[in-house]
Amino acid sequence: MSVERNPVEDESQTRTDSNPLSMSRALGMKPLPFVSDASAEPSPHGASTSSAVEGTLWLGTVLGLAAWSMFFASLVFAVGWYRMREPWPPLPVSLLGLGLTGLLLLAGSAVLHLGLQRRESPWPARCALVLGLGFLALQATWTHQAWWTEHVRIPEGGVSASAFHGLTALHALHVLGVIFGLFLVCWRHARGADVRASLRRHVLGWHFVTAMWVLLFVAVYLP
Amino acid sequence: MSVEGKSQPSSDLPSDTSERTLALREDATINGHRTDDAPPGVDKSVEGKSQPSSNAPSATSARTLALPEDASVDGHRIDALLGWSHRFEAGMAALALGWMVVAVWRFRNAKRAASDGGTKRSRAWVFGLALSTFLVVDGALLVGSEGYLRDVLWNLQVPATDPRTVRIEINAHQWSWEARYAGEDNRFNTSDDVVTWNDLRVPAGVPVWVQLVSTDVVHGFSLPNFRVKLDAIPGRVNQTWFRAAREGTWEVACYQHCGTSHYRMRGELRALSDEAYAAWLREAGRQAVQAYDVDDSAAHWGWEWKAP
Amino acid sequence: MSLLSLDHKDVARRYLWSGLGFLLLGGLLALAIRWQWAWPGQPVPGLAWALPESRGALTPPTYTAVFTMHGLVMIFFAVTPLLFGALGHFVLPLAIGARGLAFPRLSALGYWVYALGGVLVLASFAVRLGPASAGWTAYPPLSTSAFTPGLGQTLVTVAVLCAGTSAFTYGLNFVVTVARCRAPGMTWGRLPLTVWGLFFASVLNVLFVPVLAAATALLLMDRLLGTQFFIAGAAAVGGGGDPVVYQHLFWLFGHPEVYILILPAWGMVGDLVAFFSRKPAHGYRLTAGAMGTVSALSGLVYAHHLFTSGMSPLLGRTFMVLTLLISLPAEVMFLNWLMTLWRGSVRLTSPMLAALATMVVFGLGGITGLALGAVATDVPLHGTLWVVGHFHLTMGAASFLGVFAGLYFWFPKMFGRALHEGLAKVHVLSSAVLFLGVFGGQLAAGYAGQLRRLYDPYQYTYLKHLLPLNQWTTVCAFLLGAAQVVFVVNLVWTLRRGRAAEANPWQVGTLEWTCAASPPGEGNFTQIPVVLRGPHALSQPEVLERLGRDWIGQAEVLPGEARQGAGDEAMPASEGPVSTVGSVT
Repeated sequence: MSVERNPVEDESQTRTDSNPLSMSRALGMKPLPFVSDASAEPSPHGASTSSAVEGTLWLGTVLGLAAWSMFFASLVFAVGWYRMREPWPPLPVSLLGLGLTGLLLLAGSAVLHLGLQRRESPWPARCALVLGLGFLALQATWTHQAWWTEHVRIPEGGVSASAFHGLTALHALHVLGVIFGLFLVCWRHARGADVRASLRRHVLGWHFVTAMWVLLFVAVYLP
Repeated sequence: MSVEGKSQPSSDLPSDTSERTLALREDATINGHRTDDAPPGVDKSVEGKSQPSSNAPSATSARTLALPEDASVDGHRIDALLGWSHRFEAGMAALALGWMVVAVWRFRNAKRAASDGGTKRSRAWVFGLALSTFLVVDGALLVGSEGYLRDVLWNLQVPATDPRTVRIEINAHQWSWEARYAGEDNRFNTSDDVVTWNDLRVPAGVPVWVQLVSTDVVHGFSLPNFRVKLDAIPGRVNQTWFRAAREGTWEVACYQHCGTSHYRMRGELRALSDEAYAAWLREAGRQAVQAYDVDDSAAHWGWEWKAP
Repeated sequence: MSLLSLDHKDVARRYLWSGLGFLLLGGLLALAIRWQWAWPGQPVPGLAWALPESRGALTPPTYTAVFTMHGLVMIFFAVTPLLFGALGHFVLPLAIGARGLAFPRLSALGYWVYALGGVLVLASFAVRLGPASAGWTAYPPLSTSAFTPGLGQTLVTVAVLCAGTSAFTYGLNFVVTVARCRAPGMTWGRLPLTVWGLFFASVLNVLFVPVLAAATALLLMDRLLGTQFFIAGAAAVGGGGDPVVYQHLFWLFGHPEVYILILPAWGMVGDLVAFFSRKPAHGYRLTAGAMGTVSALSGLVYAHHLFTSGMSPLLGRTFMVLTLLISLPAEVMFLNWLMTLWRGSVRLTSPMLAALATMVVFGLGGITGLALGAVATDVPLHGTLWVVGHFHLTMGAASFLGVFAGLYFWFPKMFGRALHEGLAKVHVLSSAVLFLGVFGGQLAAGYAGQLRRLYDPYQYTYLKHLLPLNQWTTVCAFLLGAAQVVFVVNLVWTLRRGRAAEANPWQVGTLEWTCAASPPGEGNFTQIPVVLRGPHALSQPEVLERLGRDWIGQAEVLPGEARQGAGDEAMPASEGPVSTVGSVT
């Protein structure tokens, strides 16, 4: 669509411009980071300084993850409904094993959290990557064992088997996503980029899947 | 179970339906109905008044802007509540629209406009008006509704304590209503159970207690003339009850989309005199015993009657 | 415009064209349904190419697909994208004085996810057994593969997931943008009501779209992997699950969704009524608060959709009370609009006419919904065309007219050209009247008992007499469809030949009209405005006196006031009588 821009400048804008003194004074008094260089370079963000951008990204991540927990809340609501309807058959998989698997995620959370306190070490993130992959491998082992050895299968196992395999898979997909993000962060760090802020957001994602694992454990795995 | 609905050849349909449509059109012209298309909100104050009973479903007694004819003992309470709520709603609509029209009329291109966004008083007035409308209109609905729920809809004590109560188990499936009567022995899933298809028979004036399941998808069991609606959901037994006010024949309709032939899921409900009902049940029970096949497990879908 | 541009205005235009396209598709599907109810089984004019076997007549399987796709296309691919994707993306950053959305890449990504969903929807029409046909609610077990086999249902379910993902991304984007990217001085109390509406609706989006995603994900697993979450009855294996869980999850999303579809329109009505009454909105805080209250309640009322599902009396009573409760804030808001008109100077421009029409259809839609909120009166009306008429008035007609109110208002800003005002008025008025005809007719038919989604309602004897009513309603619907040609002509003509729009054609003070060019360039503002007052500073005596006009820009310094304000250390931008308008009410 080619519509020419209207060259008519707006009245009040020229008016505002004609008062640069009051404008800059007002700006100077309000230490809002995103107006400090508002006239310099039009950035797609309202926020131009990096700290403001980071703050916005951080807020977006926090809100996004918090809202997305509704996804897991809904899944837990469904499982809770089924459990209230009829007795929930105990899983033939070792509860201890499942719990220890989750400890890997918890350990990852701890490592990353402590790692953020330190400066510029790539090791916590790498360590977490290994822990995450270990978590996925163990979860795969348990579901494999349940399916092939214990005959907890879909669809024969009914809704409890569906919940075990289905929700484990949905959660694992989220873990996979977080691990992939973390991997990208490590990759960029290895190539010399400053990834501290980005890492902080990804750690948040890790904490999120850890918390969701706790929900999963309580709702689905516990007898 | 038939799931071929979507792929069924449909070549014979247009001619078939167009014939029927022609017939319908004649029907409609003969009856000469009003075809008002009045705006909403104002035309709903017509209460569903009782029409003289008829022995066959007929369109002749129906009015376009009224609820379906009420043939139940208790349905008039809903109709009256709806009537009241429509009066309130018509009042609200008239007030709101009238206000708007007057405001636009009176203040169109007015020389001066007020400069305030309301005073404390005007805002309090808005809130007070909203609150009082809310209390009257919603309050009436709530109280009236609650009375009906307490006395009728959720009061299964009536059918449970009445010795004359007729119990029916209904199994909905694509696309028909299968009804099961306990027969002489008053127990379900026995050899003298009477099973009918799309054909409910009940005695007039007696509580009819319906328990409802579905074998396949979600259906909706509705008796428009009895103000009864209840979902038939696979995996659970829902129940409701009603009383027919008089003898006659009415329709059973499915109100939840249940697949290709949803619109054909139509049954009939006949309200009979006590004697006629008893005679029919006796005769049908006798035939059922003769036709009973122990090995036909699919026919034994009944269940132990669930206590309320 | 580049298809890869990250600018919020380009993304908005993409949503606009896609949304209008899907609106056309959904509208044509609606006409096919209406045709079927008026002349059941007769060939639909102009449909013979698509249905050669029946010479253009709808068959029952086609009909189920048509009404399913009408609902899905309208809700997920037409109205939501138009309100949020087009108007929201375009207006929100401009109205709060931001250079763009907080996450430009996310917004562009959101569009492409939505577009992918749109492609899947279109593709589903071409696959064997046709598109989805289990109703827009897609209740299992009907929507599982045992009862609705075929790729179409799966494709459309994935498409809904895509539309949901896109809604989640822009919802999040809008919330963060409003929270973080407001211009200096743009306090929460100075936000235009449109922004409030979009903000609350976005909060609902991020909270409840994940619920839809969960329900849909479980449903997809039931369809594709054989899980048993929602399957019960004869098709169940190993005990089965419970279809009612899906219904709860679906409506926990579905009911907030109807508010998602109307909140932005409410906001626009609030602003437009104030703008074109040339006076500040009555009870600005009360209106914003009412919208917030409705949003807060919207997730707590959903189970009135399940009054006939055999819910426990306790739940039924709770949801009845909560449902009725939500009408209180709606009434407050409506009365505030009326009070805004009062003692104003009403200008019946095309956006104002659309806003007033929105008020009318929304008012009637809201009022006809009252009876559905109480269990007893819901029983005779549940599942009938009364429900259909009610929700079409609120989230169909009202949202549609809201979209056009917004489009007519911001079109000059979007494209720098002025639409033909007369044609716009004709379009708005004829649409509003015909909407009342169509949905009024549906209300009447539903009241007389006509159940929704019936291929041939006249199978039922008790509905036979409704045929003439339905034919009249259908005539209205076709006229309504024809009235949209006026809009298309106006749109095409204006984009090709329309005159350049004035800088501030509506003479209002919000930032997009007073601080940005038409259309705004990259970065929206040459200089980020410093906001001094609320959005509705109209007919202020000081302004009339000193500037000789009845409006003043939100960031415009009133002569004589400037030096004073600038010299004040603590309060750089909020002194002076005019600045208080809209923030302290």
